[in-house]
Amino acid sequence: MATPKRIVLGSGKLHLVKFTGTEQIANAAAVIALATDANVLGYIKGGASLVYTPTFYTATDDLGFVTKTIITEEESTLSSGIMTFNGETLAKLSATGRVTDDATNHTRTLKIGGVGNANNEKYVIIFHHEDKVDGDIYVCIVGNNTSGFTLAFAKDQETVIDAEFRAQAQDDDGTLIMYIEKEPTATQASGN
Amino acid sequence: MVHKILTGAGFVLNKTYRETRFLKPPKSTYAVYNDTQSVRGPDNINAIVSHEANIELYEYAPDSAAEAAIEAQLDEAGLEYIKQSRYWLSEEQLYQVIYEFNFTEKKGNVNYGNS
Repeated sequence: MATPKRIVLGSGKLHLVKFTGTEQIANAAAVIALATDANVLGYIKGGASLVYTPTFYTATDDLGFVTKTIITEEESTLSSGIMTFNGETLAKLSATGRVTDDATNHTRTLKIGGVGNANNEKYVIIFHHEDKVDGDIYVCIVGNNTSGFTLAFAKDQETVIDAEFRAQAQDDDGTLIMYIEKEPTATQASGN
Repeated sequence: MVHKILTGAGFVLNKTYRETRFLKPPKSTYAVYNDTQSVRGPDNINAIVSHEANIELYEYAPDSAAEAAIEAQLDEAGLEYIKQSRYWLSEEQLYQVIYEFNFTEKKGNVNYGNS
């Protein structure tokens, strides 16, 4: 196997659509088709981070001659800072958000709160890293924002909402993360 | 990237813009750029280049069109930048506006040795 020469450099776009079922993201082509400008949650600042955290248990005999390690748990989160947003965006980041648009008064109202209003929605979250040299990368999880958010109004700083999406199983196999690499489009590909 | 910005803004290499200095400066608005590069990558391999660049714009009279053209190119490239205030160079009888920006890119023709 050739040594990988792909270097990942730079940020990307964060997409979010309502999760309707496993078929929606059945394969790479389906995921890529969802990563459109219309599905951009908001433009991000500071990139995005995918964290995968497995938990292992190691059984060892008293003398340490025999050991066996098994994986007991896995979790994954995708976090990012969202810099362009509106009430619709915030509704997607909260489990109990309800948005009402009033065309007459030109207002949009977002109400958050009341656990009875939990919508139990799950979302497909796709981070798309564009790279014309080595090829694009798509990271896809299914989940929702579990860290709430802080809406900070500072006199000398733009507001960036930190969201952390916790992955849930996206298929019957228990898949948490789908990582997709696409062939480069440029002629100067450095070899993947 | 610097060339793309300047040519996109309507400047012509070696006629209205060039690196470091002009021995015989043009008679109209012109630009000079500087580009400090830091190269890094995996251990023992140079694969990434970070640029600390600046464009010095020289104007015989305040030239807001030239400034807007450069700024449009910086916006188009998504580059954050600092625009210094217009400064009068009395010795040269010129206005100077400096744009400072950083960007990082992958280096072409990387030597990965035998791997």
